[in-house]
Amino acid sequence: MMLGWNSLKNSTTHYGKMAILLHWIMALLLIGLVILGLYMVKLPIGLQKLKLYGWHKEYGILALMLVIVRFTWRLANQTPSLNIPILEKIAARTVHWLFYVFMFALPVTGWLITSAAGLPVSFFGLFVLPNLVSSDPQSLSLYEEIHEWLGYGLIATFFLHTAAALKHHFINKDDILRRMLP
Amino acid sequence: MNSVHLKKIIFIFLLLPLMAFSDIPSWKIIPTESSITFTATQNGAPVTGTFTNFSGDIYFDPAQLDKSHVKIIVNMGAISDSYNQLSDTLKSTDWFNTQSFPQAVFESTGFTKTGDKTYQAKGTLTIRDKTQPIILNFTQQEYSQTKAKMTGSTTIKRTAFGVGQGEWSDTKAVKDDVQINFTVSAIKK
Repeated sequence: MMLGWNSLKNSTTHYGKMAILLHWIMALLLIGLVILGLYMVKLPIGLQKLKLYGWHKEYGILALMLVIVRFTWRLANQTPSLNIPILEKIAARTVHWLFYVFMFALPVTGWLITSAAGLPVSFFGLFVLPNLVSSDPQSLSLYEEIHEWLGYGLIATFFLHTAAALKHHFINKDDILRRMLP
Repeated sequence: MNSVHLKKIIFIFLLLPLMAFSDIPSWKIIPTESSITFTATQNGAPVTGTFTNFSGDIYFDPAQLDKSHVKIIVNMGAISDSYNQLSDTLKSTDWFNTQSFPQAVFESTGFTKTGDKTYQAKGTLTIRDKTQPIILNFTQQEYSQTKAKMTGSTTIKRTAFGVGQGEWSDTKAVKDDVQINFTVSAIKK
């Protein structure tokens, strides 16, 4: 495939390079953030915990920036057709949109947590994010709760999506998974 | 010189330190209109807390700076910030160790006028078991015969006071510089 403008964009049957790149960057970033998140909350208070929270926050904000790019790209592009039974198609599309809900809601609730905690985020030392809300311990625990359950929701959705992709590849032997490969 | 005279002289000498302050107005802090806050840097971003309980002896007169004297005592156990885990951590042995060192003390050693309504106080600050010289710059917001209000700030190095022991002496995750801002409102006693 030529690396030109056309191969960057989606076609009626294939995902373009840009969509594929964004898919895999987000996949790696989200898997990393989930593992980091689950690990760091269990650590005792210490330097290690503080550092990992710092990473989780800045990479989380990076994910928010990337999902804005990805969402814009998705809206500006056609989505390749999905030639599978209608119920499966509805299920697949629902899962895809659920991912967008999580990709937006997780960093935003994370940002709300750091705001309510009065522990703002520095984006890789480049700038400090403004607080979305003023600090308040009560809303802090609410945001933490929501963030945590969104995280579990993301994990569940991830397994559904991965299982479906593998089923299409190994059982149905169609090109569903292959067309998202670089 | 008879002994009565000597006693009088000794008596006057004993009174001298009191007399030195006696013509300097003494001020009583208004807690609800006063505050001491600190801003540290964690992971490159600011984090702020407030010391909610402090007291002091303030003898201050802009016209008699050489005789002015201020001593402020901060209750290190009374920290307020939105994130409770943070104040609990700060009270622990690695940080303020409030059990062994419940107070921090600022005591002035001299004042200078730096502008129309701005002053500089030289003095010492004691946190934990470490005493370091510091300089406070402050501005007179209000000054009348009955009430005064000053706001100011200084920046200290937390590790110079042993604040942040062990792994916390690393100044990458929590920077060494900590800014202290204060507002002191007081009424004349």
